[in-house]
Amino acid sequence: MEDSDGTCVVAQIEKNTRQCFQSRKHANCLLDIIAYSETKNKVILLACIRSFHRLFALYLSSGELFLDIPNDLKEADLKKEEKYKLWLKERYEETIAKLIQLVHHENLNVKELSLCTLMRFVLEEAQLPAAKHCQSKTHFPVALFRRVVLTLTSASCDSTALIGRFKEYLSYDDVRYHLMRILHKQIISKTQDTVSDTYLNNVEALLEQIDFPSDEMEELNHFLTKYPENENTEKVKSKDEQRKIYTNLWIDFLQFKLPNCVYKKVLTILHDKVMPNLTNPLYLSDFLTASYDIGGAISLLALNSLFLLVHKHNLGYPDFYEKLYALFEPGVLHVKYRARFFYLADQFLSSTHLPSAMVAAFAKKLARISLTAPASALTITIPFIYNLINRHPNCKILIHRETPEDLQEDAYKIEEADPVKSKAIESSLWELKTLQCHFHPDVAKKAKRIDQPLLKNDISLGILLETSYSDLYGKETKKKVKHAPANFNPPKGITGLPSDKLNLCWTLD
Amino acid sequence: MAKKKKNLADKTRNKKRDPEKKVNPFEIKINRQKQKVMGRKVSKHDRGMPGLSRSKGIQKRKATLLQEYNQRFKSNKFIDKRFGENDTSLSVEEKMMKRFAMERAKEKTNKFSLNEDEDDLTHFGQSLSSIEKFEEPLVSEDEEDGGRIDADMVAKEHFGGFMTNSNHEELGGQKQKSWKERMEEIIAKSKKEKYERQAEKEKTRELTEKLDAEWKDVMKLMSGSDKRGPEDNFPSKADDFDIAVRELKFEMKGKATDKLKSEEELAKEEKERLDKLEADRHRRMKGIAVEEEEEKKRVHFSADDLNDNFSVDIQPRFHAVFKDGKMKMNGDESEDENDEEEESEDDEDKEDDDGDDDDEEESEEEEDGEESEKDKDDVEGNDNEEDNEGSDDDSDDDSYKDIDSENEGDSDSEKPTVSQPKKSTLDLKERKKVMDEARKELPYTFPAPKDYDELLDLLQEHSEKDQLTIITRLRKCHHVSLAEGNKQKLETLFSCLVQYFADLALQQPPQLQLMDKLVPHLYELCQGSQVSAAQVLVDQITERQQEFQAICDSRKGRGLYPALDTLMLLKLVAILFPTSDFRHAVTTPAIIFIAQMLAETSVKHERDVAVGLFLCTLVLEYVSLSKRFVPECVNFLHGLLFLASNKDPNKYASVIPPFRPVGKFNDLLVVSKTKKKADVKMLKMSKVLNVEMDIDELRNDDFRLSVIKGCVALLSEFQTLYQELPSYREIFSPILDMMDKLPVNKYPLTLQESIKDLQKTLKERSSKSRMQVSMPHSKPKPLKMFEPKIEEVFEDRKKKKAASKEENEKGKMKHKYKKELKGAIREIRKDTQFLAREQLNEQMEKDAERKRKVKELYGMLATQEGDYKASKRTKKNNNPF
Repeated sequence: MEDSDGTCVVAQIEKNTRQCFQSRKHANCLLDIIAYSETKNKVILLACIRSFHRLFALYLSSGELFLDIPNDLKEADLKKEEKYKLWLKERYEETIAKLIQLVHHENLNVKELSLCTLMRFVLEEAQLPAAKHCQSKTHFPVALFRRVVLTLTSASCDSTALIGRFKEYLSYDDVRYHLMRILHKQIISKTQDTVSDTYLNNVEALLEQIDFPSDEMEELNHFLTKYPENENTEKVKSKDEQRKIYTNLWIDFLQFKLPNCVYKKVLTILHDKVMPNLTNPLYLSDFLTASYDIGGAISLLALNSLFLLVHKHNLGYPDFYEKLYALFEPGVLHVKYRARFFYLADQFLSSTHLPSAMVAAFAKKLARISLTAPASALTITIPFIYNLINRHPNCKILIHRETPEDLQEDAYKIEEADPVKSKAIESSLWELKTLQCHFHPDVAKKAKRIDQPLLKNDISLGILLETSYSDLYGKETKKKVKHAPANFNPPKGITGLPSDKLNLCWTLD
Repeated sequence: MAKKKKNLADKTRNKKRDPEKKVNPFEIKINRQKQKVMGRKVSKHDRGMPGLSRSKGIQKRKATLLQEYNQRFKSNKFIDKRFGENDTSLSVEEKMMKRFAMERAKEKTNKFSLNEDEDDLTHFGQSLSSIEKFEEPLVSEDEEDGGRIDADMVAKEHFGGFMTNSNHEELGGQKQKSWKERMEEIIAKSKKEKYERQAEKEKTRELTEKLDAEWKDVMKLMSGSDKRGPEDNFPSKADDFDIAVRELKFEMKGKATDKLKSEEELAKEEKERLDKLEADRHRRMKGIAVEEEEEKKRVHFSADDLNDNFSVDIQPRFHAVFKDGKMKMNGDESEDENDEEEESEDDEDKEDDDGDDDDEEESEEEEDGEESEKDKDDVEGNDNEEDNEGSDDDSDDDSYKDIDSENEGDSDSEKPTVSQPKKSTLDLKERKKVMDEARKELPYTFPAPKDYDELLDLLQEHSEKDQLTIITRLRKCHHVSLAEGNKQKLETLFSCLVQYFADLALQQPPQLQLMDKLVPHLYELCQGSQVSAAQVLVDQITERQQEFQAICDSRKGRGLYPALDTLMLLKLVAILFPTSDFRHAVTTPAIIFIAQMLAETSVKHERDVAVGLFLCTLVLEYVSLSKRFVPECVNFLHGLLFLASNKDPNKYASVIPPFRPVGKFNDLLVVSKTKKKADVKMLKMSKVLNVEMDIDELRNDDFRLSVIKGCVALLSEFQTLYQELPSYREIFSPILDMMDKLPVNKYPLTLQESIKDLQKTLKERSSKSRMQVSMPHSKPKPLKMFEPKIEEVFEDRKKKKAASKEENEKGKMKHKYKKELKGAIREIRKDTQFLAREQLNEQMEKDAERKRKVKELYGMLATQEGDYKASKRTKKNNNPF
């Protein structure tokens, strides 16, 4: 549609809306607006949704949609007033269907506005119901809300952007309660074959948004609807009850085989967002141990939550250090989560009660993989190794032997899975010696520290954890150039220097 | 604001000191200082009142500890709820005041008060309600002296009296001069006086000088008249002898000059220079701070130097000079010089008419020109130049003037000598004319470009050759020695040229030949001003690095390989600056950037491979002298081999990111057909590295083979560089493994051989044995000597080693903890002593009580006994019988 056409229609919609406001006589204008909403032009769509929002919010709050008619009554018997209400109610249903359809519109504005409108309806209905609720004892419009939730967790359409918006409603305790119940029912009913990745992604996004008020109160009192006192509301009000549902929800959700990105996202939020709200975090131990065994980045991420379980919840974990040792492989220095990994590894290895052979193995392996590490990772690995040696005086022989011997072979066996058996303590850290010749001046300096007597205190790793190439680069260029000696061999051209190496495989043309 | 300040100041000034508490001199204990040391801080503990502080402590303990001690077995407690009773910060009066206020407040909430919310309004402390009764007329105390105002006051304040002068001034905005204003006035006055004094002094000096000069003239006259008088009278004819003498007198004397150097000597000198430079480079490679050394070198030793490093800082002193009524400080000195120079130049301009000057300038030009090429300037050009210079002087800042002025001075002093080769210039003029005709289309001087656009305007529409000529001329016209400000112009020219250099690489097709020719110019310019050139290159690279980082951030940490301009700039860095320095302002960032690109960019098509290989070549060049280890580069080459290798479908190969064990781009370099005889060509930079090239063009075996060949060549270079590294084996073992997987049979024979050679050397060197790591033996600590320790510069307090912030904090905390611990222990000890004393007192009291009681009882018993005995006795005595 043309733009000019759009503005014209928008004006028309505005006019219709105003008329509807004025009196019941113009109620038919509503039909026009619904008809307009069939368009694809987003300006018109937005105008339509806005007018729905205003109109039905008014109808709902003024009770015009409230219908109290026995089911068996025939249409002919209705009074004029009731007929009107019935008609209005049908329009309302129609609008809701339309809006739910629009939640999957491609334009984000349209999506958001439709969702907001729907939630507004939920709110208004919660204040004053559109129909008498005979079956459910609560005032909460569960049926409407369920439809909203279902659309949000659609199996085909990614609605993570919308769900961010949805968060503001989740601060209401009853909304949260119903959301969790609906989701839980839904999840239980599905099996692995029937869920799509998008669905899981949506559900995960919703779950991520759920948060509990942090205060210590057992009773929840922040509600969307006004609740009359009855026994059903007890569950909604109790924090424990909600937590139970939350726990079940997560545990059932984690049964699915998650796609990689969702898996990583879950693992990153698990330890600080989810675990505090579970009734018993140990329920997660199966999931976490399984994840830890997968290897690679997922193991890295699981490490954090697992650490919490071991540390705070007395989870016994056999072969923990063997697995940690297995995580030290060349790839770990290249991944995004490097900082987190080293932070945790530092905590695990900070104990001075670990056997020296094991610590030596960790140091040696880290040194070995440092040989292929990017410069940004070396700024952390070298101090890390240094700290390990510093904490365990027995490991000092790795960097200092009183009577050095000439060795043909390295005693260290890198393939050995058990750190204690890897014979690292019989080896020597040639890797650090090598890194003394690293191209980056800071790395070289750090590596040269092993030639000096050990420090009294550990090197603090805090600031070093998150170093990137850009930090290294920035550090070098931050200072104003004061002194820059230049070459003294005059070049004849691009490849005209004696030290030139381009000639090895390049020609200028 | 000022007024307020003044008030504050006055307040502090007028504030009466609290009368110091009279201290009993017998209570003060003074810690006598045994020696007085100048400059030592007086310690806090040099005097104290131990008696007082002890009694204070005891008082406090009585109030707290003793109370607790007495309450120890009591289960009931007595809580004092009196207001402020336990608040030690309140004095007794304050306490009373507060209590009173509370009492009043309580009274106010009287239930039965009818007008409770009516505030009691007061005037002069009396409630209004009482005043309303008008029982007593309210008279202020001030007015009580009956309206007697002295006449002066009346004159000033009343009936138009305020129109008088003094008061008027006060009303006119500056009622009273504030303290500050007054002080400022005084300061201004004194400054003015000083200035006047100095001006006068200056004047006298000038006058004296003038007088001196005049007197000299007079003296000359006087003496001249005395001596010359007779000579004038008898003008004698010069005879042969005289002539000969005079001739001898005025004959040119041979001056001592440096002897002409033979070629050998020249070569030797050159070699020495290079050796020195090389030694410098080595030192920088090891990371020994350069500045320090230079600093040391610069120190001037006088003949009287005792070699004790004692030095008096003599700063060049400048006399205050007055000129045009302004005082000139030493900073202005150079300006003065400039003024003079300008004047002298003006003179030159005037002399220009003579034409001599032109020649002279020309010959100067000549000398410059001879260095590299034939001179292309003519007279006209020189004139223009002169004009340029003149305008420069007017417009430029004087930042470089004092540097340039030296040159200027030199050229001035050369004047008389330079005018000699007149004949040769004539010749040259003729030659030039011919040349002029040959290339009439290009002007000979160019204004220095102020920004990149101007340079483009200059260079556009010219052929490659002409562009180079233009640049040469630009450089000559603005040679540093010619005018002040030229240095900056050349710096701008350098930055523009670098930009141009980069842009040439982006053109389609890239103009590598022209860039190649530009390099010597860039080098020369860079030699002139190294620091600014370094800054230019750093800025250029930083811009590109940030671009790369932005791409990385938007693509989950994986960047894209840059265009040819970045590559060429990185190459330019290696040409202009030494890559072997331990830390260098330009080359260090450059290699970090290269490493970042190699580590964070995934290889997805042929161009990526080529660019990666190019970067590896650059890395090789960067580290070829210093033999530094670049893991990123080895990883990348390993990855390239992986791309070329046969993959085992059942097994993941261990590769290092950015390469991945599985992926659709992993067979980029697998050669499809067997090519035994084909010749492996070199890669062409302009084709392969170009962004807009056709990728399909590269999708052939020729390209793959060239890459593999390059890769092998680089690896063999690297392994020679790294053969001394103790971890040689670990570094190259993955590469050796990967080479076994290469489909060698498909490669041409030459390539096969080089691969075999590489494998062989790798294997050989991997089996070398190595020594275990041990720290270098530290020197044994020398015995303490009894020689006095001499500090070069005495500082009262010893400068502590600049530890890190954290360590400082730690040290402070430790110190504090120690202090607190000591204090706490002392307090606890005192507490126990106090308690023990109390217990002892208690015990003693008890004992005394008991003693007293016992005594009483004994006494009672004694009296009883006495009484009894007495009665007995009386009975006996009374017994008559």
